[in-house]
Amino acid sequence: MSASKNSPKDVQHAFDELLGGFSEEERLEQQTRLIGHAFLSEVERVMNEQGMTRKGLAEHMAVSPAFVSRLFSGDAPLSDRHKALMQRALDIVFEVRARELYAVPEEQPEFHYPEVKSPTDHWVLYIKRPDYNRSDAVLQVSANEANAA
Amino acid sequence: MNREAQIIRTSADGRRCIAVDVATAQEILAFIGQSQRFKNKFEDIVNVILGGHRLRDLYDKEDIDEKSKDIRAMKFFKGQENGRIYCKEISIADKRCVVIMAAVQPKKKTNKNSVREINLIRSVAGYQYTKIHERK
Repeated sequence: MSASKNSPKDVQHAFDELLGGFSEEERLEQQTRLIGHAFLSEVERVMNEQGMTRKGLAEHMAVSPAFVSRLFSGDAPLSDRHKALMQRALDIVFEVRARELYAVPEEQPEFHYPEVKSPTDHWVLYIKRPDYNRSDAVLQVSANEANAA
Repeated sequence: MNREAQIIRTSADGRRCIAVDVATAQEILAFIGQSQRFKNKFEDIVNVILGGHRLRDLYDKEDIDEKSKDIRAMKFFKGQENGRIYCKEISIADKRCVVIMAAVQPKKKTNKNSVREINLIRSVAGYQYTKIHERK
């Protein structure tokens, strides 16, 4: 290995060259898998919280443990049906939000409704609708208990 | 041991980076570039890390002891080739998290870490990155 091969600039160039040849179709497939991984990341978090094993998840989903392993390692595609089965198995619902690609994701502050002290008191909640049609939006997935208020 | 790393990718929000150890970059390049399948898997792992997701089948802790707490492994085809790229996770001054790819284990044969793997993880744990080159 020559000394010049080891310069940081050459290293960056070599990686750009190695990974720069993906077609648009391949990039789209990578993004598709990433959306699946976002769901699985949430499923894994909830499984840890609930103490559910992969074997247990497989039983609830009526699939083999090997198939569940393939889903989590990204070697089998995660279908909408699998997501529905996971929701049912863990008693959760997935919540999906979109944010602009370059926006820094922020923790959503918990909202507390102001206390209503008399029958004439009232409050108004105004919700600004996000523009989901923007092409630079990315999906964020979170999972909540199915019966959570 | 003082070492240098080159940042090769940064997340859209700028908070996470993937870098490579300059001294072992050729070995890591050869491992990733061995087939289109490996390149695709690498992209998936990088996207998961930069997206802030946690999937232990793709990227997980390898904290075998107290000194290896900041060591992680990128996992390639668990249950098949079961290759690993051992990484060191560090935070730099501007609070960015940098995942530095540092060593390759082309095939992990057993669930337990072998002597070679333990030595590799301990070596990476001892690396001190004194220069992290920004992407230009």
